[in-house]
Order: sequence, then C-alpha cells, then structure tokens
Amino acid sequence: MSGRGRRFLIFTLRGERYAMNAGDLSEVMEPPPTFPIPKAPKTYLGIMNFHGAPIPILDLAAFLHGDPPKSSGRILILDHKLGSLALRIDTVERIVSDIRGLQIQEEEGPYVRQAILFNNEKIPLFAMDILMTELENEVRSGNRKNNTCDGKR
Amino acid sequence: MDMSPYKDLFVSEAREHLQGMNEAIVALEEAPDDREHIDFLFRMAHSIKGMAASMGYDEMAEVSHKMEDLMDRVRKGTIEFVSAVADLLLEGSDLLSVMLNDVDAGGNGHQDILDLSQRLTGYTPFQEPEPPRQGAGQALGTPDTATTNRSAEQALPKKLEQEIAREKPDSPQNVRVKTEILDALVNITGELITHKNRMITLANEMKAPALTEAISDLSHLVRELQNEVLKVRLMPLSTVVDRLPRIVRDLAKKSGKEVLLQISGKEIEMDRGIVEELSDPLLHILRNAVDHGLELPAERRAMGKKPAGTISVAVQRENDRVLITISDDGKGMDTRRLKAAATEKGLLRQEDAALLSPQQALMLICLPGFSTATEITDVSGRGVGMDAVRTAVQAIGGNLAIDSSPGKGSCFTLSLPLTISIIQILLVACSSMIVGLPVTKVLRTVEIRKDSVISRGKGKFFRLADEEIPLVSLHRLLDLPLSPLKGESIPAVVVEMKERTVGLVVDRFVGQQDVFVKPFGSPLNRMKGFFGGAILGDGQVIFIIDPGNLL
Repeated sequence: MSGRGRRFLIFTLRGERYAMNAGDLSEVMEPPPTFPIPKAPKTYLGIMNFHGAPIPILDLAAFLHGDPPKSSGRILILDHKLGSLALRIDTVERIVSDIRGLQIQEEEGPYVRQAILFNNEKIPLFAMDILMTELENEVRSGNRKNNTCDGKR
Repeated sequence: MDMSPYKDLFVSEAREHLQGMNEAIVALEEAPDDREHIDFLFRMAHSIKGMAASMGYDEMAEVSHKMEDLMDRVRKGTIEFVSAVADLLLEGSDLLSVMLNDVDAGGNGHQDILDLSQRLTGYTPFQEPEPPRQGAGQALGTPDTATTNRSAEQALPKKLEQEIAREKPDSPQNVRVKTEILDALVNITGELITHKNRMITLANEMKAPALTEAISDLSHLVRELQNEVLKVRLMPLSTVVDRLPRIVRDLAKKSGKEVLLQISGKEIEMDRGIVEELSDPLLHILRNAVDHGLELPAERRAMGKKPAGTISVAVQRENDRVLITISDDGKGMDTRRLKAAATEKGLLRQEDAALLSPQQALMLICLPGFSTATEITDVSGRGVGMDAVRTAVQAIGGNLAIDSSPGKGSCFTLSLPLTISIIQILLVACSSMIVGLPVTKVLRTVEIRKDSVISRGKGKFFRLADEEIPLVSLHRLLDLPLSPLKGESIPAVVVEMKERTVGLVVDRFVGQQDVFVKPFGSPLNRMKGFFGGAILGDGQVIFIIDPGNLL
C-alpha cells in the first residue's frame, strides 16, 4: 500500500523516531506557559492558552513510558477535529511529503497500526484516534492513582 | 447537471417542509375542516415533490406525489381528513425523513416505497361521505380537475401556482446564515472581551486616566456588540417544541392514553446551543408524563377526572433566565413510595431517607438506577432517563425542580440561562490554583469565624440562618493539597451540590469577572464537574466549576 499524496510529520521521543499524519497537526511551537489542571494525571504538563482556547498538553514520553514530564522540546497542537489536545515531544525532524509513494505496512504496537518505510527505516505511525479514546477513558474514570498535575515544571 | 452543491439547501428546506407537514397533520386531526392547513399540507407535499424530482431523488418524488394526491382528495372534499388519513401521511413523512437523512449522509435516498405508495393511492374510508353534488366534481369547469392525478402536475389551477410561487424561501427581511459564521462571530466577540479585560488590567497598572477612560468607552461598545451577536445566536424554542405534538400523539396511541397537549411561550428565544440540548430532556420528561404520569381513560373516569389527561408545556422569561414548566394532571408521585424504592435498591440508607424533605425526595427519581416502573416499557422506565435529564440540564447551566401531588399530578420546572457562552464568575483561590464558579450557581459567600465551626464526628458544619450547612473542602474535591488556614476567618462559597446546600471552603476570594466560557474538546470534555475553561485578563487559563456535578 502506498501513502501517495499524504504528508507525515516525523518527530523524535526519547531518541526514537515516530510519525503522525500531518493532517492531524495544527501547529508546532515551543513550550508555552502552562497552568494547572485539576484532577488530571501527572502525565499532563498543564493547560495552555492557544489563541484563546484552553488546550491541555500531554507529555507523550510520560504517557508512554512513565518518565517525569518535562517542559523542554516541542509542542504539537493537534487538529481541532481530533479534539482539544497538544503533545509534548522532543524534536521535530521533518515533514515527509509523499510524491513518489511511501511504503506503508501493517505494524503492531501501542497506539500504532502502521509503519512508514523511510530512508530504510521503519517508523511507527501513531494512530491518534486510539490515543484520544484512551485519554478520554482515563479522564472519564477520574484516574486518581496519579496526583494532580500542578502545572509547575 | 451536477446537483451536489444544492444538496445541502435541498435537505434543509425539505426538512423544514416535513416539520411543517407534521405540525399541520396533527393540527388537522383536531380540526379537520381547517382550510388553511389543508391547503398548506397540499402545498408542502407538492413542493417536496418538485424539489426531489429536480434533484433526481425519484423515490422521494414518488412518495410526496402520492401524499399530494391524497391531500388533493381531501381538498376537493372527496374524502374526510380522519385519523386514518393522518396516519398514512405521517407514515409518508417519516419515510421521506428517512430518505432525506440518507441523502444528507451522502446516500441516494433509496428506500422500498412500493407498499406505502399503494396504500396511499388505494386509501378508501369506511364510509364515503356524500359528494357535495352528484357530478359536481366533474362539472367544476376548470379542465384540470377532469384530468387524472398523473397529469395534475401539468395543469394546476393558476391560483395555486401563484400561491406556490409566493413561497420563496427568503424575503429581504430574513437571511439564511451558516451556523459556522455565527459561531465565528461569537468566538471573535469572546476574544474581544478577553482582550478588553486585559487592557483594563494594563491601564490600571499604568495609572493613565485618559487611557482608562478610552478603554471604558471601548468596553461599552464591546458589550453592545456582544449583545447583538448573542441575539443572532438566539433561536425560538418553537424549533424544539413544535415537534412535541406529533411525538406525544404517537406516545399516547402506543400507551392507550388520551392526551391533550397545551403549549405556551414557544416563541421565546434562547441561545441555540441551549435549545439544541433541550430536545432530549424535554422529550424524556414528556414520555414519563404520558407513560407513568397519566392514567388510562377508564381509570381517570373512575376518579372523576376527564378521560383525556392534560400535559402543559409553558415557557416564561424571568429576568435573565427562562423557565420551562412541564406539568400533568395525572397520578402524581408519592414521596413515601419513592423513598421506599430508593432504600430497597440500596441507593439510599433508611436513616437518610427519613431526613429528606419532600422536594429532595422527589429528586430521588434522578438517581442513576432508579425506576419504580414494575415493567420496563419500550417507551421509558429504564431508570436511566431522569439522571440523564438532570445532567443535561445542569450541563447547560440550568436547574431542575420537581413538584408533585399524589392523585393530582406532577410539575417539572427547568430553570435555564439565556446564554451559555459569556457568564459572570466568582474567582476563588485554592492552593496554587484559581478556579471560577458561575455567579448563578453561588447562593452566597461567607467568612466563617474559626471558633464558630461546628464539629460532628468527621464532619464540619457552620450555621447559616437556621440551618447547619456542611463544610466541604474545595481542595479535596480538586485533589489539591490542603493549605493551612491563615487568619481568623474561613472563606467559603455556599452552593447547591446534588440537592444539598454546602459551603465550599477556599483559600480566598479573588474577585468577579465576565468571562467567555470555552467548553473542552476531547479528552477533557469527559471530565465531570466543569463547564469548561476560560482565559483571564492576564492570560491565565482557569477552570469553571459546575458544583452540581463535582463529586
């Protein structure tokens, strides 16, 4: 299956490469000031003011690997059709524009259904819908095992 | 010719026509000789037929054609508009609605129409009414009435054509505007308010009186703009309420009850965001009224009541709120039975049940898992409904109150704000967090002297008027670390939480402000107990608490 005509963002997290659909991305920015979120798990950095909209920032490394959240790196603001969420990642490498047809193959992994073959490397493609559902469930069940995110890093 | 750009317009206009038809059909059942409604129904069927045909939706055109033919027979007096005719037309309207939804979703509107078409064409009443004068039908003079129904389309009386032509969608006084544009206007106005607040903060810091004055003038203008924009978002409740007669009619038939539905005040306008959320709660309360509230006609007669039960839906403005009252003259609710059912189901302890006031006991029906219906009908009685109704009402910033008299009837009152987006909030500090409470949810603020706090076991209370109000720490509710209480007095905000009055203890009061509430998208929209977020004048993001839903 080819990824003809699609664009992908390739970013790094903990030294590993990941990809996401560029269409799921609204903006990339440096970490902004954040404010506390009541009752939210510690995997959230806090909530930010994004052009007048309150958007929570999830530290992806904290969420996937349990690392303590940090405020360096880059913030990916997700497209509003997915919801109101931003992700903290380490670095943004490039946007791959697929003209000649990228190879996309099936791949199993947490929050991953496919992988992109780029520069002879298999890069897992994040399935944002799975992530969003998981986050919603977490919020709905009022995950009290983690302490409240206090917005201070 | 590619008709797809016109699809949205077709769907929206056809939906309006169908809604109008439903209302007219139900009205005609009550008053079968109403000439206006008869002509209106005929025109609506004719319009839909024409629109569907030009869009290429042949099945829709066919069904509306048959409906138009049936109405033509009514128009000419060959048949009476009886219940059976209403049923057929409503069936047709429902089928058209299904096809329309399919078209809206990108389909082609195909449905099996053969059976209904045949029934529409083949309808004969039990007794044919005497035709006005034998042969008068043929001798009416105009050539078109002598032709068959199939060619009626080509030869409509000129007067009817003119009437149809007059039905242009938009006169110069009204404009159709896409809802996205309205929402954008509200957003921009909200931003203006946020920035206005920011400028006020800055001007105060700079201590420049001329600047402060200029900003004050700007404030007035922004407020005026806000009022006008919010008016644009206003929608009359009739958009929701007009569907009710048809639904109540169907419910009544299904349950064997006779219902007289009275509606008043439906022209009152509210923010479209609120109106859209009212449909489900109103429907559920009505279902309950028909299903559980009203008795069967025989039962009612035995009690000396009229066999037809009355349900009234009344809408009133009261200051900046709208009250919607749904009342019935049915059997009412017995608070003792409610308390017993709740304790039986383990939803309430016996000793707590004894302490409930009548109003609080009535609200037991809103507990999740509560239902005194001995059988679950397919109409209602599942025990999910009233819980969802209360949550939905509170989510739009409203309150639900219930009153009831056994044997006499029940009354449900929804008290709703006019607008949701821009509200006044009370800002309070809790540890490192500042949160907002809508002023409409705050009963009052108090400063309680430390030595007047009453301890009973694990609970702390304070005295307000003649009542002892429990104190609840807002820190605990928000999972925040408790801060040591400084000073002699304890600041608390008195609110209603799940039918109890409580005092929410905070660190300090910060102030009051108008803010533009932004509801959260996924995933924070799943958080219970918050209306959304807001941006303060200094750029801070705060959460707006919904005390009714914060556990």
